[in-house]
Amino acid sequence: MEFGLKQLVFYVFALLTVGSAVIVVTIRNIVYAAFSLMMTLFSVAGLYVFLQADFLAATQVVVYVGGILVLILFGVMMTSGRLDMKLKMERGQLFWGGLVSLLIFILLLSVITNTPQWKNVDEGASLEPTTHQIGEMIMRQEFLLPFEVTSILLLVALIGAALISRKEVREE
Amino acid sequence: MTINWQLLMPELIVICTFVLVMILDLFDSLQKSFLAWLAIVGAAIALYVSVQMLGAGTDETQFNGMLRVDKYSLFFNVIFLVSTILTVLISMSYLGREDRRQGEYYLLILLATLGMMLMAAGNELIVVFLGLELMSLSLYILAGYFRRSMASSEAGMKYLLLGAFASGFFLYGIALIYGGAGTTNVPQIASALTADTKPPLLLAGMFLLVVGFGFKVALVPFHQWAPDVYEGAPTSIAAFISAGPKAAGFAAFFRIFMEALQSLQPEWIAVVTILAVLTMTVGNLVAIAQRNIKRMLAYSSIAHAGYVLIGLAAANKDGISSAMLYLLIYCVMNIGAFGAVILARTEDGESLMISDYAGLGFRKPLLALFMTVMLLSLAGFPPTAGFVGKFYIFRSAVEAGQIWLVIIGAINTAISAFYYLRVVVTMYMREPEEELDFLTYPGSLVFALVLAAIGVLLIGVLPSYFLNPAQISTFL
Repeated sequence: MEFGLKQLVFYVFALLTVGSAVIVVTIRNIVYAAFSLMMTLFSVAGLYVFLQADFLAATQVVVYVGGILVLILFGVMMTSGRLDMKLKMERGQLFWGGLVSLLIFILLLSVITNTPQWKNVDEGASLEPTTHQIGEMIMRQEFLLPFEVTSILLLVALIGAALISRKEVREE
Repeated sequence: MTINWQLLMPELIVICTFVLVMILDLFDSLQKSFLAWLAIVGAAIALYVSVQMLGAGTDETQFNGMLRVDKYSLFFNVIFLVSTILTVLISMSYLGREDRRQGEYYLLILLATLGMMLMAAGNELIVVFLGLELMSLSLYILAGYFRRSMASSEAGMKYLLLGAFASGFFLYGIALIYGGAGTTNVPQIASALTADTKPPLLLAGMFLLVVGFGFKVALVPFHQWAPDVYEGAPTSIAAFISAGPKAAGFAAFFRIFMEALQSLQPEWIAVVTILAVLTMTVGNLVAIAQRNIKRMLAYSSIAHAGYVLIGLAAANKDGISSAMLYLLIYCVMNIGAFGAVILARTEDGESLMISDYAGLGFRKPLLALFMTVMLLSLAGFPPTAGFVGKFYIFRSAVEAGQIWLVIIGAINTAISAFYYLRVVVTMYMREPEEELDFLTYPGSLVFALVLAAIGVLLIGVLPSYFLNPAQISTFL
């Protein structure tokens, strides 16, 4: 396999994803961990672009980097009150977490090496935006039902958040 | 794309009831118990429509193959709606008249029911996943419904964290299956696979799905959340979680594994057999050691999931149909048992220690009678429904040649009789250590228990009226 610009870009993104993910779980400062997570999520968006999934990449940036990460940072600021909180890690956590990760890694590695043929991204295809196609699928074709069910799912989350966070009204 | 609304009637009725309850909840002048009765009426109409459609033998797909409204999904609709009606009935007196948040409680139960119905009818892994999430999210909130109680909050939190973990496994499994088969549609996955090609991606996806379902229906070794959640959650919600959602998990489990992953049968039968043995044995052995009746029922419900799994391990038409019948019976008797626990309330709250039940047989004969019927059914004594359920499950496994699995199941039934009967013995043969003031019988709760008791005895005496619909309702 030749090593061109494409491979270089891919490996840079892959390294950034894995490297920053390792920092997220090992570093003790929670704010550094959150920012490292941002790096991971950005790099994953880069990998999506690489797979010609432009809509997914944009969503990844908007939802995860823009929404969830900001939420995490807000959560950190509002709960601990101080930003220099140190995360505790016990030996048992490291062992079990490592074991589960290792097992999943072995599983995936054996899957990857044993799969006879991978479907490649069509190099010759013209790079058209996928948004139009996705919109058609969601609003007019088979994915209409999942789309509608998702709206009910969000309603449940809304009701639950209101129910849990609402002040209890005393009975007179 | 044209949509045949008539096929979606049960789901639509549940959604309409939900919207109605949500709007009427805004009016403070309205009695909250009215909302509960509204939820019951809505569920009852949906139940009636489902039974009608089941009788008509409907079998069609909707939304370009996303949903399959067939006798299988309609039979499970019956199980879910019966569980919902019974749960709302046992909740009404339990929540208390002064609880102002009851509206949310009932509408979350309705939404969880909708999620279950989507899981049973889902012909596409994405729909199954969304149904699972809809159901689970509602249940996380309901488990933590008693905000002032630490145990309830802990139950909600624990259920949320472990449930999210399980959903992650499930979704990862779906992603790998999509990678291996190129589709998430159940029949298309089946046709993309032939017996001689077994993509490793699919095998890995299958194992992850087993883990995801294992968490959701509480199979050993993925069961640790169940006792804590059942103990901490409101008792009526513990009854609900142990009944409908477990049936929904199995409904999707059966459909995906028997239809989509049929060509991987040798692989998953081995896994399912091991899980069934572990689940039955661990569930029953740990239940013996329990002093708290809610924890005992939690471990007993884990053990019952193991019996249901025997039906899947048999992997034939009879196995699935008897598992379906078993789930119907199990839901009725388990909600009945939890309902009897609610009935045994004192001024100070619930009496949850088994020792508190001493002498109950004479002081509260009606309560003790209900409890005894439910426990005998759970233990599988004739002429109750529990016996019928176990009998058909074991018979299907014998037909499939899984003799030793049946032997282990029978040994487990004997073990389980010990701890169920211990409660009965405590009620009728022990003298109470202290006088407890039990509350009076609330009408709605007694009504639910009478319904459950009639159901348990009716299925026990006339099993064929219930087995035949199950037998013609399998998708095989």
